[in-house]
Amino acid sequence: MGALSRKGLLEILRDCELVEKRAIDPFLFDVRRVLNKVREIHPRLSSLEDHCLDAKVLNAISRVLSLQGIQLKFQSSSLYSSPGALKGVMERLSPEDLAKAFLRSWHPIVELEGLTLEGVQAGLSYWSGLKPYDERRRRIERKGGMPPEGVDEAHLERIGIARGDFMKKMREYFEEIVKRSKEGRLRYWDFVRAPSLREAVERAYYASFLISYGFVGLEGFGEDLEISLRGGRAGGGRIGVSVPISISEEAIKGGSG
Amino acid sequence: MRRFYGDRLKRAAHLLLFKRGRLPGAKSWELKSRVGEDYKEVLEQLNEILEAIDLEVKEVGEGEEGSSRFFVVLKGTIKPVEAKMMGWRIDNLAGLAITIAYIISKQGKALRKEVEELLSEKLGRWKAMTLLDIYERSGYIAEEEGLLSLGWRARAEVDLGRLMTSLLGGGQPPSDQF
Repeated sequence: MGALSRKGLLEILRDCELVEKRAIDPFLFDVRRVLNKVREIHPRLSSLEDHCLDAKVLNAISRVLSLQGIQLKFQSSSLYSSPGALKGVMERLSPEDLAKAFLRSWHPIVELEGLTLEGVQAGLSYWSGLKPYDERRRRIERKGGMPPEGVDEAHLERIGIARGDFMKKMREYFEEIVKRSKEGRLRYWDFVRAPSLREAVERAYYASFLISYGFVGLEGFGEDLEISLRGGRAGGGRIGVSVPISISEEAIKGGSG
Repeated sequence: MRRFYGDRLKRAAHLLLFKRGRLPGAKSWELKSRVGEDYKEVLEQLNEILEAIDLEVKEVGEGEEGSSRFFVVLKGTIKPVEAKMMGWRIDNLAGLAITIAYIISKQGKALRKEVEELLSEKLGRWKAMTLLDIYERSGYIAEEEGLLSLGWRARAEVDLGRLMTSLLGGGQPPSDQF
Protein backbone atom coordinates (compact mmCIF):
# COMPACT_ATOMS: atom_id res chain seq x y z
CA MET A 1 0.00 0.00 0.00
CA GLY A 2 1.31 3.41 -0.92
CA ALA A 3 2.05 6.14 1.55
CA LEU A 4 -0.94 8.14 0.29
CA SER A 5 -3.40 5.30 0.91
CA ARG A 6 -1.98 4.71 4.39
CA LYS A 7 -2.25 8.42 5.11
CA GLY A 8 -5.88 8.35 3.93
CA LEU A 9 -6.76 5.48 6.30
CA LEU A 10 -4.98 7.14 9.23
CA GLU A 11 -6.91 10.35 8.57
CA ILE A 12 -10.22 8.47 8.69
CA LEU A 13 -9.12 6.79 11.94
CA ARG A 14 -8.24 10.16 13.45
CA ASP A 15 -11.65 11.62 12.46
CA CYS A 16 -13.41 8.63 14.05
CA GLU A 17 -11.46 9.16 17.27
CA LEU A 18 -12.46 12.85 17.29
CA VAL A 19 -16.12 11.82 17.03
CA GLU A 20 -15.68 9.33 19.88
CA LYS A 21 -14.02 11.98 22.04
CA ARG A 22 -17.08 14.22 21.40
CA ALA A 23 -14.83 16.80 19.71
CA ILE A 24 -17.05 16.76 16.59
CA ASP A 25 -20.70 15.97 15.92
CA PRO A 26 -21.10 12.36 14.68
CA PHE A 27 -23.34 13.60 11.85
CA LEU A 28 -20.53 15.76 10.47
CA PHE A 29 -18.83 12.47 9.63
CA ASP A 30 -20.04 11.48 6.15
CA VAL A 31 -20.11 7.69 6.45
CA ARG A 32 -21.03 7.05 2.77
CA ARG A 33 -18.13 9.18 1.48
CA VAL A 34 -15.68 7.61 3.92
CA LEU A 35 -16.78 4.06 3.04
CA ASN A 36 -16.28 4.83 -0.67
CA LYS A 37 -12.79 6.04 0.12
CA VAL A 38 -12.02 2.85 2.09
CA ARG A 39 -13.39 0.79 -0.82
CA GLU A 40 -11.05 2.62 -3.25
CA ILE A 41 -8.05 1.96 -1.02
CA HIS A 42 -8.91 -1.70 -0.36
CA PRO A 43 -7.50 -3.23 -3.63
CA ARG A 44 -4.16 -1.56 -2.91
CA LEU A 45 -3.73 -3.32 0.46
CA SER A 46 -0.92 -5.85 0.35
CA SER A 47 0.69 -6.62 3.71
CA LEU A 48 -0.85 -8.01 6.89
CA GLU A 49 -0.17 -4.65 8.53
CA ASP A 50 -2.27 -2.90 5.83
CA HIS A 51 -5.18 -5.27 6.38
CA CYS A 52 -4.98 -4.75 10.15
CA LEU A 53 -5.15 -0.99 9.66
CA ASP A 54 -8.10 -1.44 7.27
CA ALA A 55 -9.93 -3.57 9.87
CA LYS A 56 -9.18 -0.99 12.56
CA VAL A 57 -10.70 1.74 10.34
CA LEU A 58 -13.84 -0.32 9.65
CA ASN A 59 -14.22 -0.97 13.36
CA ALA A 60 -13.90 2.75 14.13
CA ILE A 61 -16.51 3.59 11.43
CA SER A 62 -18.93 1.11 13.01
CA ARG A 63 -18.46 2.85 16.37
CA VAL A 64 -19.25 6.21 14.74
CA LEU A 65 -22.41 4.69 13.23
CA SER A 66 -23.39 3.46 16.67
CA LEU A 67 -22.83 6.98 18.08
CA GLN A 68 -25.05 8.40 15.32
CA GLY A 69 -27.78 5.97 16.42
CA ILE A 70 -27.34 6.99 20.06
CA GLN A 71 -27.53 10.66 19.08
CA LEU A 72 -30.80 10.12 17.19
CA LYS A 73 -32.32 8.38 20.22
CA PHE A 74 -31.02 11.12 22.49
CA GLN A 75 -32.44 13.90 20.29
CA SER A 76 -35.87 12.33 20.52
CA SER A 77 -35.68 12.13 24.34
CA SER A 78 -36.80 14.78 26.81
CA LEU A 79 -33.17 15.32 27.90
CA TYR A 80 -32.18 16.74 24.53
CA SER A 81 -30.73 20.21 24.29
CA SER A 82 -27.90 21.48 22.16
CA PRO A 83 -24.68 22.57 23.88
CA GLY A 84 -25.10 25.95 22.13
CA ALA A 85 -28.54 26.47 23.68
CA LEU A 86 -27.09 25.66 27.10
CA LYS A 87 -24.33 28.23 26.64
CA GLY A 88 -27.09 30.78 25.93
CA VAL A 89 -28.90 29.74 29.11
CA MET A 90 -25.73 30.19 31.11
CA GLU A 91 -25.17 33.67 29.73
CA ARG A 92 -28.79 34.67 30.33
CA LEU A 93 -29.30 33.33 33.85
CA SER A 94 -27.67 34.56 37.04
CA PRO A 95 -25.89 32.06 39.35
CA GLU A 96 -28.91 32.36 41.72
CA ASP A 97 -31.35 31.34 38.96
CA LEU A 98 -29.11 28.46 37.90
CA ALA A 99 -28.82 27.28 41.51
CA LYS A 100 -32.60 27.47 41.94
CA ALA A 101 -33.13 25.44 38.76
CA PHE A 102 -30.73 22.83 40.13
CA LEU A 103 -32.36 22.74 43.56
CA ARG A 104 -35.73 21.97 41.95
CA SER A 105 -34.32 18.72 40.57
CA TRP A 106 -31.97 17.81 43.43
CA HIS A 107 -32.83 15.09 45.94
CA PRO A 108 -29.68 14.71 48.07
CA ILE A 109 -28.73 11.37 49.58
CA VAL A 110 -29.23 10.96 53.32
CA GLU A 111 -26.11 9.49 54.90
CA LEU A 112 -25.06 9.35 58.51
CA GLU A 113 -21.54 9.01 59.79
CA GLY A 114 -21.38 6.70 62.77
CA LEU A 115 -18.84 4.79 64.82
CA THR A 116 -18.30 1.28 63.57
CA LEU A 117 -17.02 -1.69 65.55
CA GLU A 118 -13.86 -1.72 63.37
CA GLY A 119 -13.31 1.98 64.08
CA VAL A 120 -13.62 1.48 67.83
CA GLN A 121 -11.24 -1.51 67.74
CA ALA A 122 -8.64 0.46 65.74
CA GLY A 123 -8.94 3.34 68.23
CA LEU A 124 -8.50 0.99 71.22
CA SER A 125 -5.44 -0.65 69.74
CA TYR A 126 -3.87 2.77 69.02
CA TRP A 127 -4.63 3.92 72.55
CA SER A 128 -3.14 0.86 74.22
CA GLY A 129 0.07 1.20 72.17
CA LEU A 130 0.41 4.94 72.84
CA LYS A 131 3.25 5.87 75.23
CA PRO A 132 2.55 8.48 77.97
CA TYR A 133 2.88 12.06 76.73
CA ASP A 134 5.81 12.92 79.04
CA GLU A 135 7.79 9.97 77.75
CA ARG A 136 7.14 10.89 74.12
CA ARG A 137 8.06 14.52 74.81
CA ARG A 138 11.34 13.52 76.44
CA ARG A 139 12.19 11.45 73.37
CA ILE A 140 11.48 14.39 71.06
CA GLU A 141 13.58 16.69 73.26
CA ARG A 142 16.47 14.19 73.33
CA LYS A 143 16.55 14.24 69.54
CA GLY A 144 17.20 17.97 69.68
CA GLY A 145 16.41 20.34 66.85
CA MET A 146 14.10 23.31 66.77
CA PRO A 147 10.34 23.36 66.99
CA PRO A 148 8.55 24.39 63.77
CA GLU A 149 8.23 28.12 63.30
CA GLY A 150 7.19 30.55 60.57
CA VAL A 151 9.80 32.15 58.33
CA ASP A 152 9.64 35.13 56.02
CA GLU A 153 11.10 35.46 52.53
CA ALA A 154 14.21 37.27 53.76
CA HIS A 155 15.00 34.35 56.05
CA LEU A 156 14.47 31.86 53.19
CA GLU A 157 16.89 33.86 51.04
CA ARG A 158 19.41 33.95 53.88
CA ILE A 159 19.41 30.16 54.21
CA GLY A 160 19.60 29.78 50.44
CA ILE A 161 16.15 28.29 49.78
CA ALA A 162 14.58 31.26 47.95
CA ARG A 163 16.71 33.42 45.72
CA GLY A 164 14.25 35.53 43.77
CA ASP A 165 14.92 33.59 40.55
CA PHE A 166 12.60 30.79 41.61
CA MET A 167 11.07 30.01 38.20
CA LYS A 168 14.48 30.04 36.51
CA LYS A 169 15.85 27.59 39.05
CA MET A 170 12.78 25.38 38.72
CA ARG A 171 13.21 25.27 34.93
CA GLU A 172 16.87 24.29 35.38
CA TYR A 173 15.92 21.40 37.66
CA PHE A 174 13.17 20.32 35.26
CA GLU A 175 15.65 20.26 32.37
CA GLU A 176 18.04 18.22 34.55
CA ILE A 177 15.28 15.67 35.23
CA VAL A 178 14.48 15.45 31.51
CA LYS A 179 18.17 14.94 30.70
CA ARG A 180 18.87 12.36 33.42
CA SER A 181 15.66 10.33 33.15
CA LYS A 182 15.61 6.98 31.37
CA GLU A 183 12.38 6.12 29.55
CA GLY A 184 10.75 9.11 31.22
CA ARG A 185 11.61 8.01 34.78
CA LEU A 186 14.24 9.00 37.34
CA ARG A 187 14.67 7.64 40.86
CA TYR A 188 13.66 10.35 43.33
CA TRP A 189 16.63 9.76 45.62
CA ASP A 190 19.09 9.83 42.68
CA PHE A 191 17.76 13.29 41.89
CA VAL A 192 17.68 14.63 45.45
CA ARG A 193 21.03 13.20 46.62
CA ALA A 194 23.71 15.92 46.77
CA PRO A 195 27.11 16.45 48.45
CA SER A 196 25.57 18.45 51.30
CA LEU A 197 22.28 18.24 53.22
CA ARG A 198 21.55 21.88 52.40
CA GLU A 199 21.79 21.23 48.66
CA ALA A 200 19.71 18.05 48.99
CA VAL A 201 16.95 19.91 50.81
CA GLU A 202 16.99 22.56 48.09
CA ARG A 203 16.63 19.90 45.38
CA ALA A 204 13.77 18.22 47.27
CA TYR A 205 12.14 21.64 47.73
CA TYR A 206 12.17 22.36 43.99
CA ALA A 207 11.12 18.79 43.18
CA SER A 208 8.04 19.26 45.37
CA PHE A 209 7.03 22.33 43.34
CA LEU A 210 7.66 20.56 40.02
CA ILE A 211 5.37 17.76 41.23
CA SER A 212 2.69 20.07 42.69
CA TYR A 213 2.59 22.20 39.53
CA GLY A 214 2.18 19.03 37.47
CA PHE A 215 5.37 19.25 35.39
CA VAL A 216 6.36 15.79 36.61
CA GLY A 217 4.62 13.00 38.52
CA LEU A 218 5.65 11.03 41.61
CA GLU A 219 5.13 7.27 41.80
CA GLY A 220 5.91 4.52 44.30
CA PHE A 221 7.13 5.11 47.85
CA GLY A 222 10.16 4.80 50.12
CA GLU A 223 13.27 3.58 48.35
CA ASP A 224 11.33 3.07 45.10
CA LEU A 225 10.03 6.63 44.73
CA GLU A 226 10.29 7.68 41.09
CA ILE A 227 9.88 10.97 39.31
CA SER A 228 7.92 10.33 36.15
CA LEU A 229 7.80 12.67 33.16
CA ARG A 230 4.53 11.13 31.97
CA GLY A 231 2.83 11.24 35.36
CA GLY A 232 2.44 15.04 35.57
CA ARG A 233 -1.06 16.48 35.96
CA ALA A 234 -0.46 19.59 33.82
CA GLY A 235 -2.89 18.35 31.19
CA GLY A 236 -4.78 15.74 33.19
CA GLY A 237 -6.33 17.71 36.01
CA ARG A 238 -6.08 14.86 38.55
CA ILE A 239 -6.71 15.39 42.24
CA GLY A 240 -3.50 16.05 44.22
CA VAL A 241 -2.48 14.27 47.39
CA SER A 242 0.11 15.26 49.95
CA VAL A 243 3.19 13.01 50.15
CA PRO A 244 5.47 13.67 53.13
CA ILE A 245 9.11 12.64 52.52
CA SER A 246 11.61 13.05 55.32
CA ILE A 247 15.17 13.92 54.37
CA SER A 248 17.96 13.05 56.78
CA GLU A 249 21.74 13.00 56.42
CA GLU A 250 21.56 9.17 56.22
CA ALA A 251 19.08 9.46 53.35
CA ILE A 252 21.46 11.68 51.45
CA LYS A 253 24.38 9.30 51.95
CA GLY A 254 22.50 6.36 50.53
CA GLY A 255 18.84 5.50 50.01
CA SER A 256 15.67 6.92 51.45
CA GLY A 257 14.95 8.04 54.98
CA MET B 1 -49.06 -6.96 50.63
CA ARG B 2 -46.99 -8.96 53.10
CA ARG B 3 -45.90 -7.13 56.27
CA PHE B 4 -42.43 -7.69 57.72
CA TYR B 5 -41.15 -7.81 61.26
CA GLY B 6 -39.50 -4.70 62.65
CA ASP B 7 -36.00 -6.18 62.88
CA ARG B 8 -35.77 -6.74 59.10
CA LEU B 9 -36.96 -3.18 58.49
CA LYS B 10 -34.43 -1.90 61.02
CA ARG B 11 -31.62 -3.89 59.39
CA ALA B 12 -32.51 -2.45 55.97
CA ALA B 13 -32.73 1.09 57.37
CA HIS B 14 -29.33 0.78 59.09
CA LEU B 15 -27.70 -0.55 55.93
CA LEU B 16 -29.10 2.29 53.85
CA LEU B 17 -28.67 5.19 56.24
CA PHE B 18 -25.31 4.62 57.92
CA LYS B 19 -22.22 5.16 55.82
CA ARG B 20 -20.02 2.07 56.12
CA GLY B 21 -17.70 2.18 53.14
CA ARG B 22 -16.53 4.85 50.73
CA LEU B 23 -19.97 5.21 49.18
CA PRO B 24 -23.28 5.63 51.01
CA GLY B 25 -26.18 3.21 50.67
CA ALA B 26 -26.06 -0.53 50.17
CA LYS B 27 -25.55 -2.85 47.20
CA SER B 28 -28.29 -5.25 46.14
CA TRP B 29 -26.25 -8.32 47.15
CA GLU B 30 -25.62 -6.84 50.62
CA LEU B 31 -29.34 -6.31 51.14
CA LYS B 32 -30.08 -9.78 49.82
CA SER B 33 -27.67 -11.41 52.28
CA ARG B 34 -28.52 -9.25 55.33
CA VAL B 35 -32.24 -8.62 54.84
CA GLY B 36 -33.30 -11.62 52.78
CA GLU B 37 -34.19 -12.71 49.25
CA ASP B 38 -37.38 -10.61 49.38
CA TYR B 39 -35.47 -7.44 50.33
CA LYS B 40 -37.30 -5.42 47.66
CA GLU B 41 -40.60 -5.98 49.45
CA VAL B 42 -38.97 -4.96 52.74
CA LEU B 43 -37.71 -1.78 51.06
CA GLU B 44 -41.22 -1.03 49.80
CA GLN B 45 -42.48 -1.22 53.39
CA LEU B 46 -39.56 0.94 54.56
CA ASN B 47 -40.52 3.45 51.87
CA GLU B 48 -43.99 3.81 53.37
CA ILE B 49 -42.43 4.75 56.70
CA LEU B 50 -39.87 7.12 55.15
CA GLU B 51 -42.48 8.88 53.06
CA ALA B 52 -43.92 10.48 56.19
CA ILE B 53 -40.62 12.34 56.73
CA ASP B 54 -40.09 13.29 53.05
CA LEU B 55 -37.52 10.57 52.31
CA GLU B 56 -37.54 7.65 49.89
CA VAL B 57 -35.44 4.69 48.83
CA LYS B 58 -33.88 5.02 45.38
CA GLU B 59 -32.25 2.34 43.23
CA VAL B 60 -29.39 3.19 40.85
CA GLY B 61 -27.95 0.64 38.41
CA GLU B 62 -24.19 0.14 38.64
CA GLY B 63 -23.37 -1.02 35.15
CA GLU B 64 -22.65 -4.62 36.08
CA GLU B 65 -25.35 -7.07 35.01
CA GLY B 66 -28.22 -6.84 37.48
CA SER B 67 -26.18 -5.06 40.15
CA SER B 68 -27.55 -1.91 41.71
CA ARG B 69 -27.07 0.30 44.75
CA PHE B 70 -29.86 1.54 46.98
CA PHE B 71 -29.84 4.92 48.72
CA VAL B 72 -32.20 6.94 50.88
CA VAL B 73 -32.77 10.31 49.24
CA LEU B 74 -34.85 13.37 49.99
CA LYS B 75 -38.20 12.94 48.27
CA GLY B 76 -38.95 16.64 47.97
CA THR B 77 -36.54 19.43 47.23
CA ILE B 78 -34.70 21.92 49.39
CA LYS B 79 -34.69 25.71 49.40
CA PRO B 80 -31.58 27.82 48.67
CA VAL B 81 -31.34 28.77 52.36
CA GLU B 82 -31.28 25.10 53.35
CA ALA B 83 -28.64 24.34 50.69
CA LYS B 84 -26.47 27.12 52.16
CA MET B 85 -26.89 25.59 55.62
CA MET B 86 -25.67 22.28 54.17
CA GLY B 87 -22.46 24.03 53.13
CA TRP B 88 -23.26 24.65 49.47
CA ARG B 89 -22.48 28.06 47.97
CA ILE B 90 -24.81 29.41 45.29
CA ASP B 91 -21.87 29.59 42.82
CA ASN B 92 -21.04 25.94 43.43
CA LEU B 93 -24.64 24.84 42.85
CA ALA B 94 -24.89 26.97 39.67
CA GLY B 95 -21.61 25.45 38.41
CA LEU B 96 -22.87 21.95 39.15
CA ALA B 97 -26.13 22.62 37.28
CA ILE B 98 -24.24 23.79 34.19
CA THR B 99 -21.67 20.97 34.39
CA ILE B 100 -24.33 18.25 34.57
CA ALA B 101 -26.51 19.87 31.90
CA TYR B 102 -23.56 20.33 29.53
CA ILE B 103 -22.48 16.70 29.92
CA ILE B 104 -26.07 15.61 29.17
CA SER B 105 -26.23 17.89 26.12
CA LYS B 106 -23.07 16.16 24.83
CA GLN B 107 -24.79 12.79 25.30
CA GLY B 108 -23.06 11.83 28.49
CA LYS B 109 -19.44 12.67 27.68
CA ALA B 110 -17.82 16.08 27.40
CA LEU B 111 -14.22 17.25 27.20
CA ARG B 112 -13.05 18.57 30.58
CA LYS B 113 -11.40 21.48 28.79
CA GLU B 114 -14.73 22.56 27.26
CA VAL B 115 -16.55 22.40 30.60
CA GLU B 116 -13.73 24.34 32.27
CA GLU B 117 -13.98 27.05 29.61
CA LEU B 118 -17.76 27.20 29.98
CA LEU B 119 -17.60 27.58 33.76
CA SER B 120 -14.67 29.99 33.69
CA GLU B 121 -16.73 32.50 31.65
CA LYS B 122 -18.72 33.31 34.78
CA LEU B 123 -16.68 31.93 37.64
CA GLY B 124 -13.06 32.46 36.57
CA ARG B 125 -10.54 29.85 35.47
CA TRP B 126 -9.11 28.93 38.87
CA LYS B 127 -12.55 28.47 40.44
CA ALA B 128 -13.78 26.45 37.45
CA MET B 129 -10.85 24.02 37.79
CA THR B 130 -11.29 23.75 41.57
CA LEU B 131 -15.04 23.17 41.27
CA LEU B 132 -14.62 20.36 38.74
CA ASP B 133 -12.18 18.67 41.15
CA ILE B 134 -14.73 19.05 43.98
CA TYR B 135 -17.58 17.66 41.85
CA GLU B 136 -15.39 14.71 40.87
CA ARG B 137 -14.38 14.00 44.48
CA SER B 138 -18.04 14.11 45.58
CA GLY B 139 -19.06 11.67 42.82
CA TYR B 140 -21.19 14.05 40.75
CA ILE B 141 -18.91 13.63 37.74
CA ALA B 142 -16.30 11.10 36.68
CA GLU B 143 -13.24 11.70 34.52
CA GLU B 144 -11.47 9.34 32.17
CA GLU B 145 -8.78 10.44 29.71
CA GLY B 146 -9.90 14.07 29.80
CA LEU B 147 -13.56 13.17 29.19
CA LEU B 148 -16.16 13.97 31.84
CA SER B 149 -19.24 11.85 32.38
CA LEU B 150 -21.99 11.81 35.02
CA GLY B 151 -20.93 10.22 38.30
CA TRP B 152 -22.91 7.85 40.52
CA ARG B 153 -24.12 10.68 42.77
CA ALA B 154 -25.60 12.72 39.90
CA ARG B 155 -27.52 9.65 38.74
CA ALA B 156 -28.75 9.00 42.29
CA GLU B 157 -29.63 12.52 43.34
CA VAL B 158 -30.55 14.58 40.29
CA ASP B 159 -33.79 14.36 38.33
CA LEU B 160 -32.02 14.94 35.01
CA GLY B 161 -35.17 15.46 32.91
CA ARG B 162 -36.48 18.07 35.32
CA LEU B 163 -33.10 19.84 35.45
CA MET B 164 -32.95 20.16 31.65
CA THR B 165 -36.57 21.34 31.39
CA SER B 166 -36.01 23.83 34.15
CA LEU B 167 -32.81 25.24 32.64
CA LEU B 168 -34.13 25.47 29.10
CA GLY B 169 -37.32 27.05 30.42
CA GLY B 170 -35.21 30.01 31.53
CA GLY B 171 -34.78 28.86 35.11
CA GLN B 172 -38.53 28.86 35.77
CA PRO B 173 -40.20 25.88 37.45
CA PRO B 174 -41.57 23.48 34.79
CA SER B 175 -45.08 23.35 36.24
CA ASP B 176 -45.25 24.00 39.96
CA GLN B 177 -44.10 27.03 41.93
CA PHE B 178 -40.69 26.82 43.54
